[in-house]
Amino acid sequence: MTAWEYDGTFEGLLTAFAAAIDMDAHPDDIAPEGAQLALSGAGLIAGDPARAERLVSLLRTRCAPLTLKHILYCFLSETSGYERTLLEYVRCALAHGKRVDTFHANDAVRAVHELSRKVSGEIHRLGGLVRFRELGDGTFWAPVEPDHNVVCGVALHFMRRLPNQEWIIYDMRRGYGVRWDTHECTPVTMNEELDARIRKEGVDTVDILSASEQKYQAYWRQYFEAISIGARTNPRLQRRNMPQRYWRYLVERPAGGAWRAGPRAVRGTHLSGRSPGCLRGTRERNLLYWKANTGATGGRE
Amino acid sequence: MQLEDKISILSGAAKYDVSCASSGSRRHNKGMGMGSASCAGICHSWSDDGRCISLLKILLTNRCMYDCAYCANRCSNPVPRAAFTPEEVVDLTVNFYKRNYIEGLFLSSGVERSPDYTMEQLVRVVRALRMQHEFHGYIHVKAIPGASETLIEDAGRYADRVSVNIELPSERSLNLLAPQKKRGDILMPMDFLGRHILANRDERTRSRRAPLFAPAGQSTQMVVSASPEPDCQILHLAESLYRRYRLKRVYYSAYVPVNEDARLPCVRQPELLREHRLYQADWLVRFYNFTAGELVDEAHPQLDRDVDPKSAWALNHFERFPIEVTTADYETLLRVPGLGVRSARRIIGTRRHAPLRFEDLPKIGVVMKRARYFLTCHGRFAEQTLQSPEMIRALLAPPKAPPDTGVQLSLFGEM
Repeated sequence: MTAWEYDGTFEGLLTAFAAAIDMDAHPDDIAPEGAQLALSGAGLIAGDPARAERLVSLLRTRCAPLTLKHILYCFLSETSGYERTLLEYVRCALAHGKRVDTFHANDAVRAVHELSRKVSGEIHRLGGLVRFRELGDGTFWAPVEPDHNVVCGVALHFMRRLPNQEWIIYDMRRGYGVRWDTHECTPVTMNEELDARIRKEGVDTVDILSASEQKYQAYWRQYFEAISIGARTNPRLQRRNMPQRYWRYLVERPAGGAWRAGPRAVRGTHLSGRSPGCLRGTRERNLLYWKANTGATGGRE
Repeated sequence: MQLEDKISILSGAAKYDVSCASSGSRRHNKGMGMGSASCAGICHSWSDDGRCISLLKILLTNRCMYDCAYCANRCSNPVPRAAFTPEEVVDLTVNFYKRNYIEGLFLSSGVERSPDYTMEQLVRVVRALRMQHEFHGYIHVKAIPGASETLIEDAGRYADRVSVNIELPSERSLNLLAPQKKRGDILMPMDFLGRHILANRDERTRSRRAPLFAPAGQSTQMVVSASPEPDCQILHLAESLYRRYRLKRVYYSAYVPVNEDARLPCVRQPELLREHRLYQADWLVRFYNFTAGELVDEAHPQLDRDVDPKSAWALNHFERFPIEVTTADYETLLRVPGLGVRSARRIIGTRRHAPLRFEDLPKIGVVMKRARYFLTCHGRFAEQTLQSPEMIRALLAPPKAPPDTGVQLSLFGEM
């Protein structure tokens, strides 16, 4: 029985995969450092950027670009215990090349596709559900609380869509965001005091918003109420299309459920079975990997 | 009048327009101006009736010179009237878009003064958005029947989608319920747009730089259940619209009683199930190579309410089944109830490199609920015995509600 630990970064994960493939090893568990491993005697694999990069370029030459995207999305899903399945998928991809993504009946391929679909689905959904608030300095600020670590993916969408606007998309749950200054994306963190105030007072009452912000929010709420056909009211359908966990930072007030003000009190609850610390220091690298693996340059193309 | 009140009146008046699609157009933002159009379309919210909101759907004005029996904005209705100025619409669109509330604009209008005057106002808004604000988001604009062709051409040049509402399924009903509108006036701009779009696609294949003309095509909408036409007539009409004018979509909207009128049927609830079945049949016509004549005919003028149109077709043509899933071609697979475009493609992709077993089908995403009765795999059924169409229908149809009370049962017992 063997268990491996990696440092919680994408690089570290890829290094562990490269090691496993090189040694033809089949560890019973691969988990980020700090997770409570059921198996004792876990060996720590130190992240090695060069080795990770070699695996990436090997995958690039042998497989379709979509395969790399699936691997990255599985990492960003932040679910626990996906690593072994992903390793199996990577092995399969190296053996079969471009055909791997047509192996729908293979359990590892199916699991990876499902996980990747959840992440890309959330990126698409947030592309619609993100609500920007105009701040006093003209920046547009959008708080989100996604299930998966998708802020970079959402930012990529808005880089193409609103290139002439300064904006920040901020993950309130993971405590980091991406800032676009009309030229490039940079990771940002909110200062603690403001973070605490927003958690306490709610998003739309803090005094950092611009003068006209409340006006357009009121217009939007007005519109949202008027556009619904009373004879066809269907709150179940509404909740199915727009799950309630996304309602917190909306501007409109859907009627199909209780709307709760203010963000979730506990931070880092998403990391079930993992200490929140395992992702520390990974933000910049996530962003870099994002750029490296999806072909985005970070700046304007 | 305050802008808030105008929004209330003019979006409330536009809510019966069904279309909210923002798909089918791809506009890239090359760093100038704002916005982009995504080919798949993006929904931004869902209103309390469960319909998606992707566009700011408003009327420029609800003042209207027509008196159509089914319409909330008809001139004889004592409703508050309002009108936006083009600047107000542009400002709202731009500011909503910046905050990511919407994917673009859906602009319609009541007919004020004359069709030409109204159309000109609509074009002014769209032109200002595209030219002054360099707006690359999605724009859907209504073509007003009876407006001049130059104005409609202008609309097509700036908008992603242009649509003319056919209103009702037959000319007789149109004459009865909307006596001031002429069927010919509606079909003419449709034909004009159809020809223009086709010519533009041709131009675009020859030169990338050719200007866009309504890249997301044209659509139309009709009210069903306000007039007595059966599903048969509606589907044949839709099919001929797709064929003759190359429409992207025909929208069906179940009649919602908004007016008291002797010419209108008395309904308590909109016929949502009928609308749903029509959409299912519409999809079969567009994506599954069915013809309207296969789904409904003189003998069966209405779609089956208990089972979906594809299952109904399969049960009526039971001699064509079962289908052998390991050898059937794509077109045949598409006709199996429960198999869609994606499942059919995956079946073909998977069996290319591995033998296909029944237990693989759910794994590759095939929903077996309906398909199990119509498929064999290596000559074997999923079920032990071959069942008759009557038995399968009984299994697929929703359980009959207990006839006595008429009270909706609660899932959680009495509260």
